Amino acid sequence: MKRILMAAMLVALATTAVAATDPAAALRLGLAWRNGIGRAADPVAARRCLREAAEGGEPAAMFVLAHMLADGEGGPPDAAAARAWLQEAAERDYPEALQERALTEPDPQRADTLMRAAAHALAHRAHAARNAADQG
Amino acid sequence: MTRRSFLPLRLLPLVAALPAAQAAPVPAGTHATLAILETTDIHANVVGYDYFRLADDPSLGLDRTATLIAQARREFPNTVLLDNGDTIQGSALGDYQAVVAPVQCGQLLGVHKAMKRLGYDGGSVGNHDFNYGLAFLGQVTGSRFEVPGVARPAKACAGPGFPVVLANVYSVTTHKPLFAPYRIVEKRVRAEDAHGRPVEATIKVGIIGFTTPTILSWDKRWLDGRVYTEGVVETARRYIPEMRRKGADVIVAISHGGLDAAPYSPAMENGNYYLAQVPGIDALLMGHAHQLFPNPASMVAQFNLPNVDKVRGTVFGVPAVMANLWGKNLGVIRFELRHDGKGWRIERDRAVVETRATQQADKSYVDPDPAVMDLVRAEHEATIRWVRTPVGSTDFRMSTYFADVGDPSALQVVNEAQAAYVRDYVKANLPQYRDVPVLSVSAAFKTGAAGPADYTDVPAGSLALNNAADLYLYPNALYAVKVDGTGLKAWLEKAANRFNTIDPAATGSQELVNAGFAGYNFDTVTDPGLRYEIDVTQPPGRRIRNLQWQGKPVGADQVFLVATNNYRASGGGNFPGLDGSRTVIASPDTNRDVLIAHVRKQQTLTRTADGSARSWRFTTVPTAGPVVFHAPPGKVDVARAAGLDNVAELQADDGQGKGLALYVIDLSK
Repeated sequence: MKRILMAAMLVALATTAVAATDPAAALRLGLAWRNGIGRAADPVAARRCLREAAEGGEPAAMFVLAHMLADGEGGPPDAAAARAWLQEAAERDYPEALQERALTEPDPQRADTLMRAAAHALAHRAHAARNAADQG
Repeated sequence: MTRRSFLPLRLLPLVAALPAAQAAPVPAGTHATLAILETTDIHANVVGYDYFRLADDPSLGLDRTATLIAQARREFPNTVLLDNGDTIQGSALGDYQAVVAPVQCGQLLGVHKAMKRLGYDGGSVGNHDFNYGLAFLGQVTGSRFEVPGVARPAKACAGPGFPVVLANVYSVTTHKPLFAPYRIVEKRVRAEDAHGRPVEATIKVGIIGFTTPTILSWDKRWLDGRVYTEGVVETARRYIPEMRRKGADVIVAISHGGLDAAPYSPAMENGNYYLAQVPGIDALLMGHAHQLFPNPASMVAQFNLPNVDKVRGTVFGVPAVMANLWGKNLGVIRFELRHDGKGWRIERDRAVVETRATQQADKSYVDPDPAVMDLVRAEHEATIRWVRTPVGSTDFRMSTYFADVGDPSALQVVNEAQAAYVRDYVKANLPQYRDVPVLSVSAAFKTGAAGPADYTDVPAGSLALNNAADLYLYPNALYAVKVDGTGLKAWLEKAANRFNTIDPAATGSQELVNAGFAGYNFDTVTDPGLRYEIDVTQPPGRRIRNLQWQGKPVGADQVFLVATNNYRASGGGNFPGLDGSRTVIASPDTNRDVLIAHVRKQQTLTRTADGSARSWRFTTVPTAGPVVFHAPPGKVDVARAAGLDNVAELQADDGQGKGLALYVIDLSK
């Protein structure tokens, strides 16, 4: 998986325009293409933008991209890349990715550990949200 | 001191020899073995127990780590036991002792009682240890913080029985570290002189603590304007030379964090990649990431970085360990030290780093140390009583045995709670949506995949916190999305993939449920205002029929707010259009807490009001052969009570070896 990601990073770095993209902006654009928000839906463009965002370290993009790769949306299916991006998002403590890994993990104890990790990651997110609300 | 009081027999001969040994300088050539033992991220899991399932859980708990610690102490003549933090928060017991019935000044937390008994030599502070606020953290660590907005106690409360060190969190009042930044622990050790004769000596073990600087954003409401953090590297550069000057023979960095090779910044969460490069650190104890290190098999990115040896357990050559979480593992760094007449020198190439697991090769677990449960029995049982405290009651059995064929008994209250939350939220915060109808979806999370016990089943009677965990199993937060009629239909279509396509003309038996589509993805609405049919004779994507809201067909552009969870709203299950782009509410509150609050408010749930709103039915169709599904045997009465008159038990044993029965559903009714 690491090799795939490294390769992906290299591709990203080779293209200056891509490397300069703000991952959060690429995520928004990717979702807009995917859902036809303010434009005609274009799954190929969606996949490209979400990959940029994922390569830029955006776990929400990794999670959606993993599904697109698994289902062959916007390009051919690629189960290995789908798994790698899901894993990468989980490693970044993205709660939904941890939950998905838990739900699909056959070993009950490992699944339980992943689900608790999801809970833990979600608590971090909630904490951050409450802080933002307190500030706001 | 504390440790000695628990090991009096073993230490007696040493203590007798103490004065002479202390007075004499250590002769050159004296050799000692010292094992540094690490626990991390215990998260208040003192005993192996799951407070929501109300069942033993041998896979976690400090009571089993205690057994590993005892084994290590039998094996090594000298040990130093240290904890990496995230110690006091993370289990129902932790919440009980901090929030429900906070420990008093003179009392110890359950986890600290156990640690005191185990004779910890020191510990540091993890990010979650700040979760209950500075006043509480100060109390339970026996500290007297001088920070704004937190009353400084006249005298320190009972501490954990070991020194707590933390160097990179500072008070804005004093500009000094909140805790002692480091300690030099003078460890009496059993050694051998140059001739192999047993002697006693002292090794000065310097321990210094670090935590994730990100606490400032995670616990802003407790910490903002009270403390500030400093980068781990800057902090280490200041204190480590000072520790050496004060005579530390061995310096152990207890750093609550993992590894990250991104460019160094003082605010970075996992700074240990850079901390390890600060000269003078002999051992690095890591945590926070809930991982095992060393671990040759680890695919985790942070352990596959340059200069990180995941086999030998070193980071830039510094022996380093991370002992997973919840007491599942014990980290061990073994040093051989030789005294050269001036001081102890670590034989770096002989250092051995490993982790040891409570789970053994045959998958069984080591026995717990019964003394730990004896120490915390009162608070353990009080936590169980709290978890079982009724928050309301139900006049009907809430179960998922027949959720696939339309029983809403375990789902409707979840949907009611979620929808009520969203309505309240909209009223308070989102006036632009005040006229938009609110729906809610939920799914049965337990649908028998693991056998007859793998169903939600809450009996009629009182409802307690642990029942809420049965009704809402997963750790989700309440999210709401805005969808139009087309989006709603597509959502329900995707959920209807739960079923196989049934051929009404086939005479053979047909399985109703598509086991390849998980039950937790079968989202359904249970709202008297919404009606739809699922036509299982149609292929996937063409099954939702007669979708009506308040008696009228749902228009393609008709907008709804739909309450769900973060997993679904962010793309979990890959439902059409659900990928975060339609989220309008991302609540920090968990669905389970929302459910608990709803039950507390409602007090009494009745079948009529809260357990019989069937928004969906199968499109009626006569079938030539039986359409079958699986559920535990002997549950027809449960189906009848839910108003399902079209199911019958066909065979008490479905022959698949999981203990389920075969049921038939008459789709013509």
